[in-house]
Amino acid sequence: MVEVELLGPKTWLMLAPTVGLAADVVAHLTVTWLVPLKKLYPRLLVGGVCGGATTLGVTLAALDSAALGNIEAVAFVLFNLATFAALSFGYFNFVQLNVSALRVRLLNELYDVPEGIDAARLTAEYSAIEIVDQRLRRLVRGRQIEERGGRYYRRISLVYGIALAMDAVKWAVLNRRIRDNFRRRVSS
Amino acid sequence: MHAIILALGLFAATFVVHWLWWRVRLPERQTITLLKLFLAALPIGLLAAYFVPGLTRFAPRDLWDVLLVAQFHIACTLSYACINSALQHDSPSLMVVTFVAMAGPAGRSAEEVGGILDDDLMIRPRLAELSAGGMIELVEGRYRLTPRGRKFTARLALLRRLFRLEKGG
Repeated sequence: MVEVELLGPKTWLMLAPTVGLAADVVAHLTVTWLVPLKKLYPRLLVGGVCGGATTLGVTLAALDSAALGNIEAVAFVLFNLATFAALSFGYFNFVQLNVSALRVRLLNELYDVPEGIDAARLTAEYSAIEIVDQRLRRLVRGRQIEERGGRYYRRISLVYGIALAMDAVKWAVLNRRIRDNFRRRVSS
Repeated sequence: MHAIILALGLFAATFVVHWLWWRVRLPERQTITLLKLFLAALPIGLLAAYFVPGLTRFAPRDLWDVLLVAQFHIACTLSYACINSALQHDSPSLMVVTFVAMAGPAGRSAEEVGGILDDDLMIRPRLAELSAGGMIELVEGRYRLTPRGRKFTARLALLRRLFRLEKGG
């Protein structure tokens, strides 16, 4: 029979990333409701930092009473932080899906009109032109691209870095690139 | 340590299977197929660690080892599902930044950006996807939410209030 020690060091070693995620959610919600921080990303960042610190703290406390060698202890710290990062990234996506996803915006538009929206009117009212204008304004305001004399230029920025990284992963997994969207449109 | 190696090896092996599969033939419903593949790999990998010669030294020694491996595998699976979903449907912001970067020092005007990122690229694929997912339906030329889509959107509204978010898009 397998013996299981409840609430021993091994339990806490295993639970540390989940406890960290709980701390992440609680800190994010606390900051959201109690601190006048308007922007979403700093609120999520506070949650992520609290969650990471909690994961690290619980892991170190558990390792303190577990008889492990140095290499194994370091491996557990890195492993638990990686597990927490994956959990926190999932939570980040879950929250920000409500803000940035076009699909969610379309669902919201349709929710407000139970009888439905004429297909032509829907694409006209929430058109690509509006989305592009909104994105351009947001990217310039966030210093992710540059505007000079009515033209837009590349900046070395976080969003550009994410675009390059996503492009590389997309190429590796799907054998396609973001720029293929434009090539197809130009050639058609 | 053996549990950590098992967790890393299992996720890496599953990723390789996924990569080969996607390279040979792209599944129609990518996210669902991806989740099924990665979640099915977890019990298979754990059983393999107990019974496949050569892997038995990495077999979990107690329940906590099993949970440690499962926690890592599920966390990484869900995170990768988010990334993969973003790979399938390029975000408008990433498309705008990429299209602007492709112009080099010449830059792009708003008209050029708007001209290439049109409804066929931005709106219609999303409507088709929501339709295929049973969230919306096109009835007599009008898009409307299905009962499932209405329930889902109502839940999103609750979350939006909880997280104090503005409407998406």
